[in-house]
Amino acid sequence: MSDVREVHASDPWWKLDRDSARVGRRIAGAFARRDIQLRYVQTRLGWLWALVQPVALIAGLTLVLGRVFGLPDEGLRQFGLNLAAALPGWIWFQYIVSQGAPSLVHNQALVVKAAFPRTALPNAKAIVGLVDFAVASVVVGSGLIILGSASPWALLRLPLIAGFTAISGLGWAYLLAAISVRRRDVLSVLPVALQVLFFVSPVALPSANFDLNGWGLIYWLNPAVAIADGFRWAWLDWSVWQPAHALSFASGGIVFGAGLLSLRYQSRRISEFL
Amino acid sequence: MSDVRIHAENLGKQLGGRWALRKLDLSVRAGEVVGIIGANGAGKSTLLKTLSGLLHPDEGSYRIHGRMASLLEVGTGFHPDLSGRENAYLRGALLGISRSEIQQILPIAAEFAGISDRLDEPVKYYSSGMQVRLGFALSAHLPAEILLVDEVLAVGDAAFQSKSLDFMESHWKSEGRSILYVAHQLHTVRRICDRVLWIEGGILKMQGLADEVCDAYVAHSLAQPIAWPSAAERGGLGKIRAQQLDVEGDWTTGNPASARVVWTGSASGTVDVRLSVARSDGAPLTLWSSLQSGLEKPAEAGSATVRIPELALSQGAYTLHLRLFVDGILHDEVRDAAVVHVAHGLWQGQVYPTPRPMALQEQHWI
Repeated sequence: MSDVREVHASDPWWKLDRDSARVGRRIAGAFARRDIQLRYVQTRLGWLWALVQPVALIAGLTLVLGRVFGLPDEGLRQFGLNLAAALPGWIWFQYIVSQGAPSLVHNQALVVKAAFPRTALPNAKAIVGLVDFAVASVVVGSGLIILGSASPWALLRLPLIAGFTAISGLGWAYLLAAISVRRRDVLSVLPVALQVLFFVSPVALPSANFDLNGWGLIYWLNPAVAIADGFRWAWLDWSVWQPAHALSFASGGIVFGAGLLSLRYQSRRISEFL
Repeated sequence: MSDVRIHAENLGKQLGGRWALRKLDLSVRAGEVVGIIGANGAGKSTLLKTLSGLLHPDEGSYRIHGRMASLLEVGTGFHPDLSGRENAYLRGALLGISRSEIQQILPIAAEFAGISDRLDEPVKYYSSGMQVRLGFALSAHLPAEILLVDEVLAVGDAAFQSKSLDFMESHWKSEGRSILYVAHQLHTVRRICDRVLWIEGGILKMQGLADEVCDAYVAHSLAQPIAWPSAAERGGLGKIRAQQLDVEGDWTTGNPASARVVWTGSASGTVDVRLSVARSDGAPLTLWSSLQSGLEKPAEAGSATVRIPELALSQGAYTLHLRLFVDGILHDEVRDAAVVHVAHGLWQGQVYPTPRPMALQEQHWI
């Protein structure tokens, strides 16, 4: 056993110890496993539930909104494709944020007693969401292939956008988890905020073409814009990209960095505050 | 130097603006069981939390050689819907221990906890005793060189506690594990620890052999005046309440001893004053009852004195728990109502061969 852990009072707060990445992966895996097991402990349909949500949303929204706007058949088809490509990614993103942000507070009995990398709990939620996302993607992909709309590049492009979805979702989850240690309020506001975000993001609606000023700037800072349009690019090979998408990607990346640092900063204090 | 497992230098931690731990030097070697004692809030838990990585020190440094498992409160943290087996994997992961390693120790741990046949049932169907036993058994068998243990033995029934102590004594030491053990029960500390650190106000007050430090700690605790809880905080019906308990004179083994209880209030019936004598760790040794000895006093304000012709307690510190009953109903209860120090004396003409606080007994061998 050659494990040696050395800690000095003067160690900077952002210093990572050697083993924590390995330990963190193991814990994230174990917690994801727990969540997945628990989900199916007392259900009848089991894995089918992972399908029900996206399929019901795609079908429901397409039919209802299609009728409301009185779309012709071709419009309905475009609308359905638009939604089907973007929705699984959005659901994953909002799952990571909504489940990852409260994960420290929900597991506080463990968090105050065991020293493990705090990112492991939100990461576990990202893994659970990934399972649902994978199942939904297989369904959506099959549908798109049957309809003849799937891009031949899909398999290459999907991992890129999926990776960005995880990073931007985790960034917000880390950041909010770190804040929630001191201010639980953020967790109360979160469901409403995510609901609003759904409607201002181009998930159900096609991507918008705002100018880069005023409200437009705020629109483009939303990482979900890059996620939704990214999946359309990946699945359908639609030419969605505008220069302003760079802003959306950048905001996801910056929030990831900020979230990582704030959680690390807060982790020395967590067992004092929780 | 190579067999030092925990080495801390000048370790300090500030909590809420005051030093919870200050200038602590500590070194634990392979195979050593080191106890930490001290009053509540003395900094024992802060030390364990700092060494386990939950808190970052504000001064000093420490070095840990080997895999460390920190067992803060073993009985908690199981997920009710998961099986005992899945919970074991989860706990292992939290301590950085892989699934396959847990698979190896699980049959042994389940056997120890006496739940082998129910390992695959959800934990919610376990009794609380079974959960506690599984928690301890898992922790006790973890493949780690260093264990930080906080009050493990405050859980489980008496038989399991004793089994756990035996296990810690026989296995942990022989396997060369290093253990840092925090406990309030001094007799367990005396039994399993090689060395003891006494922390007070965050500062190391004394360290040395277990018995030496425990004795000094007990003597120190005795010197502190005891404040009784207010009547509202005490148990019992409360129509009569104890007012004072005077331990009269010096108590010496084998010599006469007496104590006087004063109470106020009134109730209808006959009062029974009970003084139970316990070791400083709380283990009861004997009971003195006014009614049993034939004293029938009405339950009005008054007093009673117990006279012991030959004090059958060995040298050491004892606490007295005081309870007042009226016709079998508890009216007042004061735990740790007084602490007495019994001086060395002859018991039935002999020096009695025990260094520990103990109840003695008149005896005849044939």
